[in-house]
Amino acid sequence: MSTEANTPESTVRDEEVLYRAIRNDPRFFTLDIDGTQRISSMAFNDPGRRPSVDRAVLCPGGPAETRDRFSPNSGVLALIASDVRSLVATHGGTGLTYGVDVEPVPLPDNPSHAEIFGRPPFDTDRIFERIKQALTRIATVELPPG
Amino acid sequence: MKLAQDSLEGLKVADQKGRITLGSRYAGKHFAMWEGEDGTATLVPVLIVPEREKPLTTGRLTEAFTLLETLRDNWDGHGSPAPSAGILIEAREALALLHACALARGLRWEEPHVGVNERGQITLEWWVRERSLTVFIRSEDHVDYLKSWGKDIDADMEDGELTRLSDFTTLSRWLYEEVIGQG
Repeated sequence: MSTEANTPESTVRDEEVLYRAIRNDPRFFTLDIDGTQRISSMAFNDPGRRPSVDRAVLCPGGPAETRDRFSPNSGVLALIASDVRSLVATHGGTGLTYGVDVEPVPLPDNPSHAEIFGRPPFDTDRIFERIKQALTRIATVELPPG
Repeated sequence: MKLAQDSLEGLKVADQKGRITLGSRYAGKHFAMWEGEDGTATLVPVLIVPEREKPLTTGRLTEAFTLLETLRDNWDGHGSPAPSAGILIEAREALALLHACALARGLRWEEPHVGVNERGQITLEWWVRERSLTVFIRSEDHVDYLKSWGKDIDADMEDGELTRLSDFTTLSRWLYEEVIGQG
């Protein structure tokens, strides 16, 4: 394990937990045919194709800190940085391979802020939809909405 | 011969225009016809209801669309735009068409989870255990899908255009085949 201090600008380490806030809206969850709760890919919507997350290591208040910063009664999903980085997507037409990474993007009011992004950047709807689908499958519910 | 007589009891012969007579108890009914690859033809009795009576979407789906109409930009807190009135109309029509397709072809039908992506496009999402199917209504003439059965993006996912109802038939059969296989 690295001994580098955890600062808002420090590299996101593979073992870090990432929090993704979602509003208290039933659209973010669905049920499968057996009644099992599933996370909808809408939970990772992002117009810039760089979904925001918080670095748990920089949230001394835990996932509740992310929840409270986002909106009242929102939920929090959790991901492991190494799981995110293990994702790879190949464009069916061009053969271009997209890696997935996460980097710190600290904000004045949220030093724990980071973003999931593509190498190269996700540049098509289809690639980003695949990425979102994979993110739903590696995410867990840390704090349910409500 | 008894065998021949038994067969003749259920035998219908199409006339020169392809018409067959089913009997008076079927008089006035409407049928959806499903043709199998082996030449089998299945007739499914259907009800045709005026559109104003919302025949193909249940109350829950109607409510889902009504709620989508109330969304404003940044509805998800992550900057996603609200869906336009036009795309909502397209999505309703697409959903009705997919439902009608399932009905006509004898496919299993479960209500999809209706959502919106970061471009204001409508998503119809079904989950059957580890299998998921998402249909994206992107515009009047652009509907595509993503099917997924695991987290490996290249090995466990497949996407494509949804241009014909037969495409949806194939996707629906894939989605439910494990469940159907278990009886």
